[in-house]
Amino acid sequence: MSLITKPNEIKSNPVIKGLIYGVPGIGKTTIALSAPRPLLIDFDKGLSRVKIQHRKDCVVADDYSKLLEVLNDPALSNYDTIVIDTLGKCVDRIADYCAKSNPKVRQADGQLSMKGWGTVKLTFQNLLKLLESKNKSLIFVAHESEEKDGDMTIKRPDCSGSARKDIVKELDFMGYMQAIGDRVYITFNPTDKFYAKNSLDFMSGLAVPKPNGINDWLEKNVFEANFKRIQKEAEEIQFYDKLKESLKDNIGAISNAESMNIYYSDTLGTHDQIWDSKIAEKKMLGEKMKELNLIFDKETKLFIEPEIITTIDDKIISIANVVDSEIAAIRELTEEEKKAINDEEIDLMRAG
Amino acid sequence: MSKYLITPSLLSSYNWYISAEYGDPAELRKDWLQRLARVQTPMSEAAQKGIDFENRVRELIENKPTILANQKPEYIECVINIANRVRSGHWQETLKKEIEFDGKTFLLYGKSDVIKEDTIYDIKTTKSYEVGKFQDNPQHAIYCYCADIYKFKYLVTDFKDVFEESYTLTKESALEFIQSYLSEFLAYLEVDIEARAQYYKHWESKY
Repeated sequence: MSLITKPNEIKSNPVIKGLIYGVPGIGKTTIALSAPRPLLIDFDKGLSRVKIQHRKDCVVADDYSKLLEVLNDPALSNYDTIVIDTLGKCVDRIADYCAKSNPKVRQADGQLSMKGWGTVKLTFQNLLKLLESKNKSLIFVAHESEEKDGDMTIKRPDCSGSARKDIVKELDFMGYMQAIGDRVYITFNPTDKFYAKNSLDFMSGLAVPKPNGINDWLEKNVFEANFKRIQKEAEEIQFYDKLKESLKDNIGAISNAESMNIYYSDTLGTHDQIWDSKIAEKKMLGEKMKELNLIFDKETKLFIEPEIITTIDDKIISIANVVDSEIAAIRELTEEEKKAINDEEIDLMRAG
Repeated sequence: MSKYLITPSLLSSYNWYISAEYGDPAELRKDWLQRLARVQTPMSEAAQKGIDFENRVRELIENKPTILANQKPEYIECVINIANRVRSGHWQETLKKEIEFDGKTFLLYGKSDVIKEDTIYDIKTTKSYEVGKFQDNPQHAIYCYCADIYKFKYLVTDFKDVFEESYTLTKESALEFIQSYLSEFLAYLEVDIEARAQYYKHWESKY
C-alpha cells in the first residue's frame, strides 16, 4: 500500500481541533461532549454541571501530571475526541506544575516571573504537540473574557499568558456561544464583538438546540459537515485534475499556427472552468506560443509564423493579454496609463 | 461613459481615514486627500519590510538567489512556511471586473499575490496579529468576485510566526460586501466635496 495520499482520496475520520467559549452556564461542556466518543479532561469540575444523561467518561484533573498520565494510557484508544475543560484552568494547572518542578519561577508575591511564563509557554506548546501525536480530535472549552480596544470591547477566550495565541493558530475552528433571546447560538466567523475562527467553512451563527435524548450536535453539525465538505472537495479536485490533464493534452497537441488558431477560436474558454483553470489555460497557451515561436496579430486576432508579419511588428502583443477575459479592451497603453497601472501595483503592495 | 477604479487599498485608506481616532486631524485629512490625488509618497519602513518578505518567498520558490543569510532563523522559517503553502501557484494575476452601482460604472481592480487551485492567497506582514484582523478588509470580497474563486486566505507573519486567516464567500456574498463598501464610500463622497472632486478626477479608469 502506498504511503502517499492523493488530494482526492478522503481520510475517513479527519481529526478536528476546536475551541468553544462563552459565559458560564451556557452549555459549553455539554456541547463539547457532543463530539464523537469524547473523553473529558475536567480541570474545572464542569461535568457536575452537565445533565446526567449527557455525561461522558471523565478524568478529574486537579493536577497537570494527571493529563500527562491519561495521554499515555492505552485506554485512550477507546476515545475519538479529547475535551479539555477549561483551557484557562489547564494553563493554570500547567503553571502550578512548572512552579512545583522549579520554585524559582514564582516571585515572592506568588506570581509567575517572566521566565516562569516562558516555561509555561514551552510546556503548553509541548502539550499541544503531544495531543497532536495522539491523532484524536480535540475540543477546548473556555470561559469568555473581555478585551478593551479603545472604546470597543471584544470578547475572547479567557486564558492567562500567551497560550491563547499559541492555541488559536492550531485550531480549525473557534466558536463563540451566546444566548440571543431564549436560544443559544454558536458563531464561527469573527465579528467586531468577539473573536472566532472558521477554517473549515462551517455555516456561521448556528442555533444550538437543547439536547433531547442523544447529545450529538457537534458530531452532526461539525464533524459530519466537515466530512461532507471533504467529500465535495475531493470531487472538485477530481474534476480539476481531469480538466488540467485534458488542457495539457489539448494544448500539448498544438503544433503550429493553424492548430493554435483553431484552439483559440473554437476551444479556449468553452469548457467548464473551476478555480484557477482559466489562468492555468492562459499560462499553458502562453508557453505553447513561446515554444512554437508564434506571434499574435491583434488586428486579425490570428497567430502567425514570425516571418509573415515583418511589417506589422508594432501590432504584436503578448498572449497573456490576448487571452485575458477582457480581450475587447486591449489596446496600446500610453506612458501615463502605464504609470497609473504601476501606481495601482504600488498601492496594492503598500496595502500589504 | 466614464468608469472609475475601486481598489481594496483605496477602500482601506478610506476606512483608515474615517475611523482614525488618533493623530492630528489636519494631517490625516492632508494624507487622505493626497492619497485620493494619487500623490506618490515615500514608502514606509513597514511596507518595505513587507515587500522584502514577499520577494524572499518568491525567490525561494523560483530557486533564485535569495538574501536570507543575515536573517534570524524564525524569519527564515516563516519564509519557508509561506513558500510551502503557495508553491506552484500563479503569482501577480491582475484581477478586474466591472460593476454597475448607483447609476455609475466602477472597475474593481487588484493584483493578487498568489492564486493556487481553489484559493487566492495574500501575504501580509504585521507587527502583531490577532484573530480576525482582516475581517473588514475589502480585499477578499473584491478579489474573490473578480477572480470568480471564492476561497481567500491571508497568510500573515509577524516575522516570528505564520498565521492563516481564511474566508469562504459565494458570488452573492462577495457582491453584497462590495456593494456595502461602495455604498458607504459613495455616500461619504456626496458630503465631502473636496474628496469627491479628487476621486472623480484621479480615479477614472484607463481600461
